[in-house]
Amino acid sequence: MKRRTVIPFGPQHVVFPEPIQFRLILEEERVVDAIPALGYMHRGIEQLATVKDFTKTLYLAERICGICSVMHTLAYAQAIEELMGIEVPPRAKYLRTIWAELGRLQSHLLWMGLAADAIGYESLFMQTWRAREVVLEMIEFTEGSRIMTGSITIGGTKRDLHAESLEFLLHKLEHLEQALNDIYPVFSDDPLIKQRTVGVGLLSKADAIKLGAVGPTARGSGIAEDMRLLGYAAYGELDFQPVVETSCDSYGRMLVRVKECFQSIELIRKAIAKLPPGEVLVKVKGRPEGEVIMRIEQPRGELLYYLKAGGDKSLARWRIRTPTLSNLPPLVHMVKGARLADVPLITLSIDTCIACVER
Amino acid sequence: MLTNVRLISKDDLLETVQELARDNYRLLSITATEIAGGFDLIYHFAQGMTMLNLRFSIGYEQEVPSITPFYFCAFVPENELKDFHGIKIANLPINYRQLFILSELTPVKTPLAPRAAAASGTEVLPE
Amino acid sequence: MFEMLATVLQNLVAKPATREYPAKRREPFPTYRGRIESLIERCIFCLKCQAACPANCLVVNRKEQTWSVDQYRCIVCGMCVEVCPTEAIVMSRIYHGPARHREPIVTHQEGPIPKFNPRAKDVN
Repeated sequence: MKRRTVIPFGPQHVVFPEPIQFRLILEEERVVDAIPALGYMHRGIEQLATVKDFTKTLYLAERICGICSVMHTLAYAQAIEELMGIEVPPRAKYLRTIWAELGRLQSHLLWMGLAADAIGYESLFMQTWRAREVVLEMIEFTEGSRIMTGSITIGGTKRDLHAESLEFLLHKLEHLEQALNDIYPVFSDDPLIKQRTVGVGLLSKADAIKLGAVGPTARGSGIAEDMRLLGYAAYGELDFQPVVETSCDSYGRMLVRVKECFQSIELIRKAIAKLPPGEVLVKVKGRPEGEVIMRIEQPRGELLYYLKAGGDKSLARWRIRTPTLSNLPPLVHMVKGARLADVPLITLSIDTCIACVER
Repeated sequence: MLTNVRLISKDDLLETVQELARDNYRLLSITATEIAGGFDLIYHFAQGMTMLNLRFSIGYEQEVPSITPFYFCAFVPENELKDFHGIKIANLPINYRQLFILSELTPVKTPLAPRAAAASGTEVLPE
Repeated sequence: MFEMLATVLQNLVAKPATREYPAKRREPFPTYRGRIESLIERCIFCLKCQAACPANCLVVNRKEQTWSVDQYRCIVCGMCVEVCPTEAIVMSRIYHGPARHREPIVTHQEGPIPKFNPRAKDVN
């Protein structure tokens, strides 16, 4: 038997914006096993929700994760609306879709930049984040804040999009598409990127199902699963197909994200074209009661909420299963057999969001 | 609303999960809620877009069999159940011993099961 | 091989995409939420804002006629602005800058508390 070494990967590592540790067990340069160690930033959000007013928990949901803040509020608001039997005005549904897609764009562009940075492609990293700034400007202009937007509320949305904002959005989308058109061939064809990603971090379709992979990780392995197909918000009325890649490696997962950026732009354009007139908010009275499960497609994959309320002012139970938590077992599987130098890129390829994992 | 719920008993769990694993169901998560005298457990599965929820209740002292042998990914939610609720899981192959997300320094053990902690007197308060 | 080359050359001759921050600043957009500010002379001390705040950053004291906000706790959600019946809280476009100490900003009202007139909004 060869000598085995244990290398702690993290909690502070250049590819992680947040703390998580993997204890990598190595035989020479190959990883034979990995043990994730969590718990560096657990905040007790599930517990806090059982004592906080359910309307204020909306803001708590937004703060589970900074990058998918819109999706968390969307999921929470939809779950409460389903419990209380509130019908959201159609215009609000379209606005939610637009903002959710803007959130997805900025998250994917952030990831693309980080991936380019991890590969060592500095100029691509800067170019990607320059494109992301355009998205953040769109978010700031339409929602009044760049990250924690607080636009979605129980019963609709807090803000409305006027003709001026829509024009601004369409104008900026054009800029963004142009920037993405420049970036896309680099991600898909550049030999530097291909060398680092093709055939690295393999996850077969059968393994992806068995290990419960979600989101781009599953779609990069050929599973056409996208929770947006459930038709929540306005997704049911916008015709789209999930982006699927069948290469089952880091390259496939990367391409899924890059192509989803174009898909998001298309979805926003369709939503703006179809935007119905009318109110955006209905009054909410009473308290939630019952149980509900809400599934939403986050930038990182499927988000699962289980809410139980007993007619009190706070919830009885709020279970949050975030996509990264679901993608951890596939990640452990992927790093087995990989070279140590590839581990940073493989961990990045599932788009780890530790704030989501630890709640 | 909560749909596609199949009420089972604790003893049928392994058999049912084995069938679901054969039919290529994905395990989404396991949810526990503290109810009077014990816990209410929901195992969320999905095949494509449709969900299937297995549901049963256990007492505070009862053990739940681990489904990690069928679904490797179950070690994450099962260790969470141990951490947050103090639920006893039998034959858990990857056992973090209540240190998966919480640490030795966490002032309150089983933060999401206050009644269970009060009943058994395991709650450790900060000094 | 040279997918990036055109962009790199273009950037070489183009103006920088970034700003020299403290010298040149971009104006925030008109809808930007920077921080909340109090128009204390309008306040009737109804405590609605304190109850509505999700971050518990507002402390309103009716007896001493003070209204205080911890700007480093405030999440700028705008709930207090929405619930205020006399529009005594306004959203400012200027964000709160850094400080040495984390202290709440206390505003004090002089004279008697104004009477609440539900139609006062329309008059202004």
